[in-house]
Amino acid sequence: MSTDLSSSLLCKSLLVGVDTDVKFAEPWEAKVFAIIVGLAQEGHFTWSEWVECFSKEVAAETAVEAAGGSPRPYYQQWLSAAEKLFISKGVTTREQLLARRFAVGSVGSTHMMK
Amino acid sequence: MTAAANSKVPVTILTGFLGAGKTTLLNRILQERHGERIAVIENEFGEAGVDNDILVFGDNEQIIEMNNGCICCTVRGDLVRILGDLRQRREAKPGAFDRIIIETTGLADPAPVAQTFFIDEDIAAYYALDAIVTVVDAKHADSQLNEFHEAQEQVGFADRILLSKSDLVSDSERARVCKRLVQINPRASIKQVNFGNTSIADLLDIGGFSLDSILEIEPDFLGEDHHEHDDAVQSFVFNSAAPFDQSRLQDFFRETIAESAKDLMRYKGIVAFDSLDHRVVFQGVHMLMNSDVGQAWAPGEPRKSKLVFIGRDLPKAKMLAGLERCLVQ
Repeated sequence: MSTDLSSSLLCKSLLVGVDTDVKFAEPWEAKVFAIIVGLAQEGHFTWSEWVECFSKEVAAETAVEAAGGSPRPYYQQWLSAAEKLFISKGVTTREQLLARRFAVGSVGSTHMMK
Repeated sequence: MTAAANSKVPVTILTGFLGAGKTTLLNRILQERHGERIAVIENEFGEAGVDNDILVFGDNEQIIEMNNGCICCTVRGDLVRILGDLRQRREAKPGAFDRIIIETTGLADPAPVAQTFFIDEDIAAYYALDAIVTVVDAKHADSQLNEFHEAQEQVGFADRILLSKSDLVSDSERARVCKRLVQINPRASIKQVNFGNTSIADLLDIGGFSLDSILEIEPDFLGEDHHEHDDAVQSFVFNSAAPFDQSRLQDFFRETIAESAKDLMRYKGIVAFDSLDHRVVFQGVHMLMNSDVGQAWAPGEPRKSKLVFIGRDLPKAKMLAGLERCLVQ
């Protein structure tokens, strides 16, 4: 994906619950972000559906924190929410995610065959 | 396979030891009236002039010779660049070619050539590596396999082996050569080629890197340690009726690849995980790997896993024991 994410005002405005100054610590974070935006633009789900799904994830995470647990990093929460939404919208399946994860878990994402 | 993958330009890597008959084979194929427009990337190290004369420059074919030596050991960038140029030409003139055959040098290691298709994003988006096809000279196979590790590696990497010059050897000699090839690589089908009537179908659309393709082990594969030849490149198969624990198997691969990535040439498997009602299929070349979901197991169907590993001096006993520990008993 070649979109210049960091400079895309559209993308920034689509972010929920964060500072609009988008920063990615790892390449995969940008990739997750781009995939969500890309799939929404392709019409697989509406942006409000994504917001709703992500809000639930954040709420669950907040509950964990309130109960004394440590919350997962922000983009991990994105990833979890995205996976749930993609499955519920039929973009992918739970089985496919688990199967694809096998190679990532075995060789790391940088050695996944493109 | 997805529609996007189908629309990619298929690429075949044609390898084989010096004098095995790659050029003769290519020559035949380029002359055949098969309706396919094939671009050939030619890289016959040290024999460029000769091959240049032999290869046919038909109206339908485009031959691009790389004169800067071996594509594998100079820079992979050369292949990236040439594939990029070809893409531009095809985009400017749709239908300029339908597929590509890369003929490697007799001494080449196929891995860096193959890896180019999985490492470079732009290449991977436009091209799909179909298979590595290795031409083996039946008459000289034994001596070449004895003498040159490159010959063994080319057999080990293959998705298909084309046995040339088999009319020059007796039936028993041919059977013996085939047996040796199967021990090195039990997943590549062996086809005898007679250059008088070679079919393009023997070379193309093999699906060697496709996760959809079935994992067939040659029935002649003994899988035991009673080999006539002690080849450095060997293979083994792991079968299990018990399912795997996914995270343990991932740990196994992480450790194995950390220790043996350079020696682990090709690996492929269909596995059952205790957490999943679908098959998981995977394959790899050295450190590069991919996996996907396969068919669901039918109710009551035995969930049998099968994994094949091909490599150089692999720690077989250790790997088999390691795999055993990943099973959920």
